[in-house]
Amino acid sequence: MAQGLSIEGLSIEEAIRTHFERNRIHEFPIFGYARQGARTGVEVLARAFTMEGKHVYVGAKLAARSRGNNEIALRISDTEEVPRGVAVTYPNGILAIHEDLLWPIPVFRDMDRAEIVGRSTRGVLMICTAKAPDDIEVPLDFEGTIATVDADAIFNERIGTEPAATGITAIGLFAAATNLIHPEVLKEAILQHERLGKRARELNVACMMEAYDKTRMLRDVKRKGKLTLEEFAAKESQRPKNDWFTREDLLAQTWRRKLPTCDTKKCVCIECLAAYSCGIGALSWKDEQFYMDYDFCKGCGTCAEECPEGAITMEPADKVLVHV
Amino acid sequence: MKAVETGVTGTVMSLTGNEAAAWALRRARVNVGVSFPMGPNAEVMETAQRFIDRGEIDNLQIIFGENEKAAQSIQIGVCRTGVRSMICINSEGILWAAPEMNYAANSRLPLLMVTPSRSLEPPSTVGCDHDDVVTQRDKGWLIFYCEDSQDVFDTVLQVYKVIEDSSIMLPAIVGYDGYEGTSHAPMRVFVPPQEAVDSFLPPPNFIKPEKDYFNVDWQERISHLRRQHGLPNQNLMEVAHHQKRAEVNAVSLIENVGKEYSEAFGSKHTGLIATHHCEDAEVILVSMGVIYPDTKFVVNALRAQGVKVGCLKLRALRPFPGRAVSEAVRNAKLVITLDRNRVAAIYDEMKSALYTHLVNRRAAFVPMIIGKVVSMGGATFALRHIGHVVDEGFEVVRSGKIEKDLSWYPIKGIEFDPSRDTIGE
Repeated sequence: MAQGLSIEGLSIEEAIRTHFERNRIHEFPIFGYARQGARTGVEVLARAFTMEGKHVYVGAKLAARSRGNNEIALRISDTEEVPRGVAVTYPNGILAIHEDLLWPIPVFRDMDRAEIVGRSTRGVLMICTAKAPDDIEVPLDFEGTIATVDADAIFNERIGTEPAATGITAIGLFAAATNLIHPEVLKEAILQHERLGKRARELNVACMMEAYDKTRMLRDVKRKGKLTLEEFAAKESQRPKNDWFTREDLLAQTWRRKLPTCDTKKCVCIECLAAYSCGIGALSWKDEQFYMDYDFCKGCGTCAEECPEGAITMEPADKVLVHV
Repeated sequence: MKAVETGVTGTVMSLTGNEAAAWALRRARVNVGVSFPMGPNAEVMETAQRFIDRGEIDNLQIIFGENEKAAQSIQIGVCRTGVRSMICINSEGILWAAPEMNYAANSRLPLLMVTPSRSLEPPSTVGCDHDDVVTQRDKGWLIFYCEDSQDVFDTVLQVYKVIEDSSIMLPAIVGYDGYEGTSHAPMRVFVPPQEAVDSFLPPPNFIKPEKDYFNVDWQERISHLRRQHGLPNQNLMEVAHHQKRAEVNAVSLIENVGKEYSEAFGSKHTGLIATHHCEDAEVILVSMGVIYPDTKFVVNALRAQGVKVGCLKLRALRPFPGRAVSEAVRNAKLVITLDRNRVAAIYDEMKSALYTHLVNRRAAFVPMIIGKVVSMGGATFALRHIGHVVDEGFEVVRSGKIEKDLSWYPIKGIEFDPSRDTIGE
């Protein structure tokens, strides 16, 4: 900085850091798959902290294609002063819904993930994975506590929807690793979360409690990172080879897992009857030929159901797109 | 449950900006909610619909227009019959509804629009800036901008009271930052009980035209003669003049209603501006919306170290509180405006206010002013960036030289490439 301040030798960064400590602000970046699970979990956390009389702010950035929130910042403060926005300043750790999310993921939009991971090199590293804290490898140098829990297994045992929605299970890990909130309060907050049905809330409470109990922690860890910050940023900003089907898409999506293909040898209709049933008009009969616009197909499977000859079948998306 | 100083007991909830708007709609006993659902506004009417579904309220009808222009027309029709209504549209939607908005202001209809801002495309972003609201600033609507969920809740209730007053009768926009700023960010909100709000905000009783809109004589409605000449004793210049005068009159009413609201519920989100440590500050940051709490944070952090810096928030952009703002910054050496819109509206308004109220009045001292356009399209503008801006401000104060009057910050220096399609994905 230019040091134009009226007081000699005062660093603004230092003043902000002191103010963070003065207000006892806890800041956590939270990475999810952008399905809504992480978002739901953090909403429950916000409700729980509000019930405790704290001031909370949850900043959540939408992922590419408005899928959901994959980058969330949670801030908890004793006073009304809570900074806004997704960018983190002095984070106390990271919560990652899956181990992969800690590593560089090429994305379309500039999500500043390199900056967030780069700033969170100390504190509590919370990861939902089957691995023990000992086996965790970190992308950047890390110092502090590593906590893990196998959220997928816990979730699949009790609820088991595909893909596993482990957002609320993960906050059990958060409660155990950070010790900022009592699990009983979390339980109450989950039961009040009206967006979920009654049964789902009860099952999620059980998942959260189990995650709280099963959390494995390793304190005072010093671990060497596999990448430097520059490497991380470079990998992160790599443009994916396939413009509209990234690895992140594969992980995140619940739709478009399967896409329709048509065996035109079986076709008998003069015009594609299944095309009439396509909700978004991705399927059409162009120049006397079957035409599917995979850019817009959601993979709902209606056309495969409707095709009278069974010519349209749903195939795994990655196989279909190879031939496009 | 929390007892405010005034003894009102209410509920403390964790609400997003959108949910806070829906709660305000519920507490204000709004009868018609109109919207064209899109990101980030859809959650407002979704939440309101959930109140209906659960049977918690029964006096609300939600109507979705086939586009924003239709939605705005529906609200105009509804308002003519003397019903309290709320519309919720944003970004390009506001531009869609623009002609109807002129119509509403000149017809003096007390409509309320709730707008979680979103940037105007292309390139397509799911981020926020204030362009959508700022483009409508001279439509004759009152414009309020909120910093957080609590502010949204408080402002909506106050604004209904202001606009339905017989001396005002103007439509108003209540804006707040879309997505990560306010609209999708759960925050702590104090919601007072229904009876307390009812005594502050009585049922709508605004003056409505004598015409019986349920039994319209269509022969007369469509007559070209009326279209061309207007009603007797009406002409556009007079109508527009009255409308502009009402906007000016709103200043004192907004303050009075704010006082009343703060007495009833102990809220600090009242009036036209909010100031923080402005009295003896050398550098003052002026902003609107979600940037204000961050500037306040940095100001507090630096004040603790003895740096004389302050910040100011515009709660209302229209009417622009020129006198109040000039009073607040008159002792400062430098004013830095932080605009989240590409026309740098706050910068322009501040300059004209300082000229009118200080230069024209032959004030002994007038502060310098520099402008920053920040956080367009949801770009990161974090605490450290505010720190840089303050630092640059003190550099200007020390050297007495302004290098750039208006600049965009932070800029990554990406070159313009005409061969690339700005629509992106």
